Amino acid sequence: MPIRDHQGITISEFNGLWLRGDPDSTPLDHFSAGNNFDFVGGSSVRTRPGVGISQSVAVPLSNVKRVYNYPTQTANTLIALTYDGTSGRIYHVINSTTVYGPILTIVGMTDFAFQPYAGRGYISPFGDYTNGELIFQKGLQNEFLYVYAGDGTAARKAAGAAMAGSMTIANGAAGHTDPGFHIFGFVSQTVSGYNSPPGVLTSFTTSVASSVSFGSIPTSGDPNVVKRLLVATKVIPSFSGDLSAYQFFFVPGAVINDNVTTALNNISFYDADLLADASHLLRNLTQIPAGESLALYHNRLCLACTYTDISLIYVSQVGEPEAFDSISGLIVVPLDGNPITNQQEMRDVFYVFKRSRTVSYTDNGDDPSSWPLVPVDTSLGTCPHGVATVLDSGGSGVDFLLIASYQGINMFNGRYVVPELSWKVEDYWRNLDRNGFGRIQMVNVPTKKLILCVLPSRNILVANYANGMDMNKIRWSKWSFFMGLNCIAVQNVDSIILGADYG
Amino acid sequence: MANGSYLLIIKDVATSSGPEAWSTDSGSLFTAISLNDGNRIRANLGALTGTYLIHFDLDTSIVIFDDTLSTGGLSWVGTWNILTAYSAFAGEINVVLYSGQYYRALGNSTGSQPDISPADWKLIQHQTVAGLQSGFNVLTGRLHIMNWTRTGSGGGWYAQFDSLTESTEFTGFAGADDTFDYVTIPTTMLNLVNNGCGLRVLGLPTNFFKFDQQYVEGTYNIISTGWTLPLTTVKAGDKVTLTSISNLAQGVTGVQFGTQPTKVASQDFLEQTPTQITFYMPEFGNVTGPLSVSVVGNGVQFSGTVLLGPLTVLFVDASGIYVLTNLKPSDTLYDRTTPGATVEVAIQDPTIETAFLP
Repeated sequence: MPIRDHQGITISEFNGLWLRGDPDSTPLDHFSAGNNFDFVGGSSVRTRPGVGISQSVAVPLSNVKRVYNYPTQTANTLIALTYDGTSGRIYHVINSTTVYGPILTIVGMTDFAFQPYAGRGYISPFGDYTNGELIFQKGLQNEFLYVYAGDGTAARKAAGAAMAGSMTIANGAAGHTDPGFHIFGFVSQTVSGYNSPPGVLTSFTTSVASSVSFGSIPTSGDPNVVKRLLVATKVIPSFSGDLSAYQFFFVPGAVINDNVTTALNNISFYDADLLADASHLLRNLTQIPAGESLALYHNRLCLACTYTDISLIYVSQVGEPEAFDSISGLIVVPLDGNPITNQQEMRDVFYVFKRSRTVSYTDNGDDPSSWPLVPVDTSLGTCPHGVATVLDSGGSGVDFLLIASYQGINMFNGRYVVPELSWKVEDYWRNLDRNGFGRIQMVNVPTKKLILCVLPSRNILVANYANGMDMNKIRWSKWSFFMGLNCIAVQNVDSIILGADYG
Repeated sequence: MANGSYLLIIKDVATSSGPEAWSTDSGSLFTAISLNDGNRIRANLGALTGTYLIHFDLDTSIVIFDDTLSTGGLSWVGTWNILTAYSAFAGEINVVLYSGQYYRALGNSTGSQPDISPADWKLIQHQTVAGLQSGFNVLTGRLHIMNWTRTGSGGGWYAQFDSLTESTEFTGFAGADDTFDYVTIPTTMLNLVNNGCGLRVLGLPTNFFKFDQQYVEGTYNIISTGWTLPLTTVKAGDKVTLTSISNLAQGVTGVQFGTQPTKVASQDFLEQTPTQITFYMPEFGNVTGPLSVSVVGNGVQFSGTVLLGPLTVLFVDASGIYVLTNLKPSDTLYDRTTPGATVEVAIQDPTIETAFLP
């Protein structure tokens, strides 16, 4: 055909990658292949933005396996895991020149779950395990939940044991009690507000016109204990012989505000003053096994998928992220041989994910073990880092989640919206190594209208939703890097942080 | 090393006759040896009269059709030499290569140039196709003769494995799928050098054999020497090209390094042709020196994992924490050779490939 008869084809829009079906069927306004391009405005493309270094120090962190944004009380910081082939080390990166740590070193820790809470950071180490050909993640064996104060001091095991030892009790100065047989004890309180189970349980029969004085009170061996609180039973008419078989209450005003003093004198109280129940502390776990997932729901810390129980969720007391009731604080997700991978609150509902299953629980005001289960989806779920974090907060955007499932990147609003957002790149997504889904980590940056998803291949699949967030208008690109990209986080509203390891 | 199966089809058309049909089969005569089906070699045999012999050579991809041959057994003696004495004993009929053509001895001769000595040499029709690629070793083979019929009486046909081994004569009138196994096959058994294998037909001018299809199927293994790896030292992020001397590269679904799981999947290859794959070298750990490279097959071109050999790698630690910087035209990486140093690198090949333009 003569050139003069050739009808020109105008391509006025570039709508990104189209990686589904026969490449020859790629729509004219899409790309059948591409790498390292970015979108400009609604219809143009350019080279992706470059990366710069985050640390301006002589020896920056190396072989970074995971990075989380860590909002402390005063700043937006990062918490990062490095791995030397044997041990994982967690550092607190304050800014480009200041790094604390390692604040925690654990053999075999190749990944960790993290949950900021009231300026502190809760850390749960986990790693890869295999079941047949399936590689999955669960909490490390013989490891625990740790709490980091955020100040550069070493992280320590969350919770703690009851104080041990004995004390003396005697009538004090003139005062008042309901006379009779009581059991007294002390609860130690750590700097993070955790109350231990009552310890140093000692019986004493009080007198009607006397206060009670305590001597030789043990100090806690835990250097993080900052207070000791007196607990007592009401009068026990007939003692069974078991000191811990009774209901304990905090005695108002009976507090030792240090871990040094060994005496507490002249405490007066009536049984009617004993209102704050401390009995539940007796059932608290003194150490919490490490899990693969941490989340907050109704101000409770939820930890899931431990080494021994891959379908179990530990739910803390409200406002007490280290107080896990060993009986009523447990939720067992229906067993199907697959581990819990993720947890996320949205619209007051607590969603729990496995790799191919989603269920929900709703706080009914009672103990977590009584929360009703609602199956949400029996075929779609996600991976350990597969719920997109939104800016520097949690995973829930404006009434929806973005979830990386085996189907693709789905919008989730209580159900998985189909077709998935990644419909245009369906073939590419389906060919991802499922055993590598533990590497997937996703962030949503609304201010830039970007979704960035780190893939098992160490590339980033980028979605630009400047033209709209639906399967037709969203535009996809793929970014690659010289370094082995491994993880992603968002800091300071919309600063995109990338972590790289060397394999 | 990996194993697989192959399929070679010699005939798929039954309407024409004689060897001349080879050149009139509208381009679909021969395609390629198939590994687990797919492309096939096809020879148009048609209704035959007289005596014919077909040889196919899996390794050199040459198919020979030889008419008027009454006894089996071609003996490959190499390129014709003016000083060599050639013969045409039954079962050891000399075959030579001269000026790109194959010739069969019709009698004893010395110094008779094949292309100008029709009394001593007969041109053997042949065609070169995309055959079993180099790097394959044939392990087993089974010849299938499919859907054959005969009109008239007299004559017969034989399945021939080499000059000394052939089946009993088939003199019936029809068959659906007659198979003949190669009990033990040396790796070169299917070469013309060892007289190939094929079908010998003894017919009379009034009789016609019609073979709808004949093919050989069997198993092979792959030897890794069919690949070429970069000789230069490679570090993570470098562009690496692996070259296959055959068409194996198009069947690669992933590349592995050391004992690691698949590191680069085919969808992340920068380029994949029948003979080459190109990709960015992924991270491989903090090792320097030789690192074994394997490719994973798609089960069509080949299956399993094939060890290609060692690649010399250099560990350069560019790991760390980075920040994506808007409008930044290059990537700044940590350079740990000097404390606090950085290195500036260009962003890896920004590319787009538009849709097919009609």
